[in-house]
Amino acid sequence: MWGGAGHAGRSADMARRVLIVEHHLHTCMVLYEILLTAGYECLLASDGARGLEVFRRSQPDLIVTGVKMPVMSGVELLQQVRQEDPDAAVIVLTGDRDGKTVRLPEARRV
Amino acid sequence: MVRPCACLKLGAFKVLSKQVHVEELLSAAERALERRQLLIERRQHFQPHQQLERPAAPRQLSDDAGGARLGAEGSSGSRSLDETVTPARITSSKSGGHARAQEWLSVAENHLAAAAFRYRHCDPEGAARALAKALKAIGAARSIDEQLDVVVAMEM
Repeated sequence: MWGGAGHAGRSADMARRVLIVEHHLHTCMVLYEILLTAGYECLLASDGARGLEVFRRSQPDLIVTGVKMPVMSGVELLQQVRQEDPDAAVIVLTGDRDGKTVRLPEARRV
Repeated sequence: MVRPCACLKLGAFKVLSKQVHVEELLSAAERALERRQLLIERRQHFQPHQQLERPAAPRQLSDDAGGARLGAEGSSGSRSLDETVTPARITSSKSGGHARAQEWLSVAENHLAAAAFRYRHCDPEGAARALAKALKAIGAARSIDEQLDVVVAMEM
């Protein structure tokens, strides 16, 4: 498992923090590059559980998460984060090409 | 498979494809952060027992076409200004207890908070758009619950 939390930013005091939670390293790096270039400070996590850990520790301004991940999915992460911080900003990335469908865990379908 | 509205219902701001479009991602990120800021400000304003400075009298609004009655002091004239004036507050003095209608009122309250925020930040067009959305949501609430008597207090 890669990851944990690393960060970089052009100005530590002013940059808004984004937590990127994505299992695929390549996708994660692409997101990292985009957001870092746009001036965000980036925190990285490779699955939902680690993402939740980083979220609790660092209280990022925004979370960008994939859906299908080991240990804890993006949807479960979303639910946990929402419980802990109702104002949290979360963007979900789906592997579906047009972003029109998301596969939820069976037990948690709504 | 379900539609992304499931994720949206769970509280996600936006569902995007992993085939990332840079502009789309950055625009969604900006809007999500803006919304979060609005929610935090709103929560701070609505904290109980918070003493607010006595502001100028709120504007009177009316929306006869939408069927919702909007007013600064509302129907309960006995309430003091300090009790009623927050950036945006909706109270319903009568209600048939429809949960869905209450949800719409909650949506309207968010839009009103956004309107107040935008107005304060010199964006009158944005404020007008948010206000229109709020009125639409109130209209939707009233279409569900005809007994609903809506009172809106806004500080602009």
